[in-house]
Amino acid sequence: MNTFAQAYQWVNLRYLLEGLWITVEVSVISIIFSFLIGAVFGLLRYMKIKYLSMIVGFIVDIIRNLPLLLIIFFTYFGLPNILGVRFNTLWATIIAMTVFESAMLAEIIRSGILAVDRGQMEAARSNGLTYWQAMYHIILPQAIKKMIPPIVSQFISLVKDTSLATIIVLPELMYHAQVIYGQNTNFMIPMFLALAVLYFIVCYALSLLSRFLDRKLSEA
Amino acid sequence: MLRCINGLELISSGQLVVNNFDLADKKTDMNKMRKNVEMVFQHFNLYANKTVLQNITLGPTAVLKQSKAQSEDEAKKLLDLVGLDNKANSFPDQLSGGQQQRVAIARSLAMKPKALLFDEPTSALDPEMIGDVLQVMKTIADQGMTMVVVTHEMGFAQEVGDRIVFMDDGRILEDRKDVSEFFKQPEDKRAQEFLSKVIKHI
Repeated sequence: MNTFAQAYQWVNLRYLLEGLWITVEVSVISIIFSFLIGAVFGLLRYMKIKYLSMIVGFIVDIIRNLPLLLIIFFTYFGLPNILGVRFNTLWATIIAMTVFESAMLAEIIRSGILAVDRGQMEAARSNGLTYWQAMYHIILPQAIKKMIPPIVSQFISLVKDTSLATIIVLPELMYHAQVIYGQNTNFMIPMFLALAVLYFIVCYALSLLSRFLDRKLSEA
Repeated sequence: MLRCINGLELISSGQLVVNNFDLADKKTDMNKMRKNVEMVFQHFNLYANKTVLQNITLGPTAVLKQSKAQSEDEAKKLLDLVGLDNKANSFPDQLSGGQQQRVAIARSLAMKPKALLFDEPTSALDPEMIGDVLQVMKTIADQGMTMVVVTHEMGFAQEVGDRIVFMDDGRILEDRKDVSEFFKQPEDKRAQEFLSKVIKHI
């Protein structure tokens, strides 16, 4: 029991919370960017514009099928060699996460739109609405409702996957925990427990948000 | 054929002129053409995210740029016409098939079209509901609306239609102004065969 008390002394807890802050920061920024880019890419691929949709689909498929860790390595170690630009660990992680998650979200968004019954668009068009009016009033509102659960699960994976950035020494939650039990291996189990609790809280908050949005949209 | 008339599908050959819009011409503004031609679908296709009232008012407000108040006023009158004035605030999935189809008809009428297209409007309904929908269609026909109806309801076609076209496999086999004559003496072989099988049911 003494080990736990020692492991959870205030200096350590504060150090963990600092790591958590970086984790949240990376997650929130990546979520915002990847959602915007994913929405554009998903829509472009859905719209079947000559060449453009094909190119977007090609890029999305490649990125989706690469391990995130490889993309992180590439942005952190690869880009300086190729382009001569070096990002710090924070931005390298954010860029890598955004690239990867945009591709994942693009597919979720595209399939969400595809899941709306084709008759809805036909009815709207023969009702006199233009393509974009139909999208705005009819298709997207229905698609968004279908998309929310998978999008939120994707965000939850994103939060957990930020821990991969430990490898490029981003001072996020996982890395800080490693530093603490690196100094005293007895702290390993208490730290694992703390990690589990902290990741759970953040991710569970996201699931609650999903349920809240779902209910809000059902009322509307 | 209906899907060609309102441009949901393009014609592969020949000529198709709807209300002075040439549909074979790629430059034709389909949006403009569709303002005057409305369609009622086999599977209703009501907007699932909108209430009955919103289903009807969306076209008039978004396309015809009518005020919301005026559109809602007209929508309520149309709901009255199709006998669903108490369902204005329901969502489509709360209605039976027959009710949904009557809302779809009201939605089409709200655009004050020159013509109404019906794509097998009663095929997806259970038998008891068919009568309600046909009754509404008859009322509209009696008011002088131009209607093109694809249907397997031979009794209805015979009673209401004033021109009948018999089609099979995308081809027009008979085109008659005299409807009852078609039912008595079809000329085409395929039509004879069809009627001999179907007429027993009615």
